[in-house]
Amino acid sequence: MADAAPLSTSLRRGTLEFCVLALVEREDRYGTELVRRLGDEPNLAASEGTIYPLLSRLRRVGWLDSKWAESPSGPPRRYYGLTPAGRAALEHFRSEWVSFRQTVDRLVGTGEVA
Amino acid sequence: MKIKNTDVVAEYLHEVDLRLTGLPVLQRRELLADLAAHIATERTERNIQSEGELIEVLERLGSPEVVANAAYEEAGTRPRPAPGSSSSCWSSAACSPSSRRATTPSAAGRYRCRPSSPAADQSIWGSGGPSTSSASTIVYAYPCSARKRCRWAAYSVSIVSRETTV
Repeated sequence: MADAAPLSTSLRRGTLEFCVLALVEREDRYGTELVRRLGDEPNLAASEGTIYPLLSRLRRVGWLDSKWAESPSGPPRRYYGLTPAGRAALEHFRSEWVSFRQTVDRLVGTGEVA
Repeated sequence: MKIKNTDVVAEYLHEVDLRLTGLPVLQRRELLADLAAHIATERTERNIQSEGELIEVLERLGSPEVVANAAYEEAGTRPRPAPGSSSSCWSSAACSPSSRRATTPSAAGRYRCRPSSPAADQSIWGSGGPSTSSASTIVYAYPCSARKRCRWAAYSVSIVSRETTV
């Protein structure tokens, strides 16, 4: 059986960023919180440190904004929130993803049996 | 063991920084600040006291090479070889001590063990895992007996290698 790691890496690429956007859709979250949440998902699990460059890119392209805030206990936290552009990108992904998933399911044979 | 914690974190961040020379300085500083904040938050929220627990936090972050590669990928640039360091020096016992910078002494002298199975470590670390030398002299700085796995072995190897220059 082929090594599953390259496949999961490929699947993660291009989708993980939208998972991140979705996590901050309703409320701002700080970096460590996002990293832990993503780490709880076996299919998305990657080295935690690789999430921060992703957050940085999403901020640079204007999909996330961030601000430092004091923590009730501990060091200051950097909170990430969704920008209007990020919200639009997430909505676009959602519509594209449904169509994409259905196509793959149909071709690969992973869709629900009628 | 508290006195060693700062050394371990500083060393980790330095190793990441060494690998980020091809990135714009602001991105580089941002990533290092994020990693430092993450480590500080973990230490506080998980009430981390021991060096072993702190090393586990660093393990979960990923090796400096993995983190740096992700930074380059997200920035759309290719990584540069790190000056004064190399991927093999971080992840393998095969690096030359002379290529390492001298830093503070580590816990290497206090903890020594050998991996129960080099193959098992390879499966954990992949291609970046510790390699056996012809003299079979891989010495790990972390007390494996106190841990379920020697996942931080690669880090420890770099400590051992470096300490020979001190």
